[in-house]
Amino acid sequence: MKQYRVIDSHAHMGPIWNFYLPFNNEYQMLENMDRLGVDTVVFSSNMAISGDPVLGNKYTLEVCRRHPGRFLGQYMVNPNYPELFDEEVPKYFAQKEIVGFKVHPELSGDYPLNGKNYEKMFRYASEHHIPILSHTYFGGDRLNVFEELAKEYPDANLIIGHGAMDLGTGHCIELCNKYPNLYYDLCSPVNKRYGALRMVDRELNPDKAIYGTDGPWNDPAVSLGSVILSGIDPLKLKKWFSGNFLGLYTRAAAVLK
Amino acid sequence: MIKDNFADEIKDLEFLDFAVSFGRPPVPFTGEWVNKENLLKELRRNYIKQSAPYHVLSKAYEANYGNALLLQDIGKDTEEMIPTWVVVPSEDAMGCSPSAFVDKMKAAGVRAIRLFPSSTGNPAKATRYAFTKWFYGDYFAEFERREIPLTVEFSPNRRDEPDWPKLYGVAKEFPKLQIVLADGFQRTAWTLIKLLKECPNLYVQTSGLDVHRELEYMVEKVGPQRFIAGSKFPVSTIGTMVGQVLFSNLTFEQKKLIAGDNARRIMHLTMKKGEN
Repeated sequence: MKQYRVIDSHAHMGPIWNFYLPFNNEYQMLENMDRLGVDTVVFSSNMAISGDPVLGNKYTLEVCRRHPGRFLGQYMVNPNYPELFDEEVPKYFAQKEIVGFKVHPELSGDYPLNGKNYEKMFRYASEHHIPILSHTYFGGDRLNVFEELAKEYPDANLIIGHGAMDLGTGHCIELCNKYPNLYYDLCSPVNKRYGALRMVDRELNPDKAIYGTDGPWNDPAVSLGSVILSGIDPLKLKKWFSGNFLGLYTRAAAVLK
Repeated sequence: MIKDNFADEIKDLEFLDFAVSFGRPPVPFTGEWVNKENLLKELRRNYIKQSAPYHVLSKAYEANYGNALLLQDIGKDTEEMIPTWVVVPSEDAMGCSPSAFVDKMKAAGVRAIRLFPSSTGNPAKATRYAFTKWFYGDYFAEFERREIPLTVEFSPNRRDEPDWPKLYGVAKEFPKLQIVLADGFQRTAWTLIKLLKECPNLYVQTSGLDVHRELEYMVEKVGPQRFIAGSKFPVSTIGTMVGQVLFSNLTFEQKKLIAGDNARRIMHLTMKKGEN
């Protein structure tokens, strides 16, 4: 019997250029998901983030189609190719397997999240209720940028990747509690750090935390062990592991019902 | 698939957490620090049979001062807590010769040593003590002779790497000195595999291996005897270490070696069964 439905909402797939990721293909990740009891992984491919965004997003969709319900996709917006947005985004979001946007300002040449080439994404996300997961942590934008965007686009749900651990965990929690459209990504290293996990448990609105692992960049077994053995109330963990995700990602909830 | 109640599985693995500390640091990581009692409580809550703690002040203040506090705080809990001392490479600092220092260790039941050598990538958080034969050599020779395992922690930045040439050099110059590499090895699987194959006296603390199924991959390449479970608590949770080993795609025998038996072997601890 499984106690929790586990949805890993922050993951990637495939090789990366500067270090080795063992067992990084869809079948090897699936094998690991089965062993760990992870129901669904929501990912943006490494090709989309640090290679060719057109090939990468295509690969993301193909994988999701090969494994219905086990993988869902995030469309990676590379702001260095603004012409792709109008060309590709409506087509991708016509596919039920693509459930959110992913942005990685740091690996997109430190392009600012409040820059011109992300504006269309924020408008589209607002209009179509599509969550945006943005990377933070040793790169990318400061928390004041997230706050400005939360105010400017109140209908766009923005997930602060990695809980902005290097920018002040407490401040990030305050923002997520204050703004209805800001969410807290529990992804590594937050879910591995004793103090951060305790602070999130103590201070964050329990409906605002979304579980993720950053696999295969990180080991999902490490994150899962840390959260499951944290001693945090199982009812709260149910929200973290999947309840909050399904409330936020309505497109995913429709696919996974 | 992981089960609802895996407490028994954790107990069966007889974990020894090789990388824990206690004491009040100048800057608690994300606001948390633990005293010895709270460390013990957390270890027990996670079904960890034993640990090898060092005192935070052995690094943050003065080695001898912290080492003494460690023994005082552990008190009679030596079955669960095997003390680890910190050494800096100076007879002036340690107050005695390397040989006399190891005599003191043995008399106090201290089974392992931890070093915090210099790091060019993170000088603000590292010492100014070079990890080389000409600097630490007299201590290394004594630890090698007396079979005391040495853990090396380079205090790296997030994307820093350890000083591979110095590690390689020391491991080759002291081929019977058992060296456990602590932090700083994330995302370096291929480097580590080559290093471990070249230097049979090197071991890796599990907290440094944190990409997808990395522990499993590396065990496949170099065998399970080379890995030592360590959580880095209270920086990381103890659950990180447990999850990494328990949920890995390894046999029970392989997991048990990594969980604690390898550490017990290099510390020459008698292995007792069924006491958890």
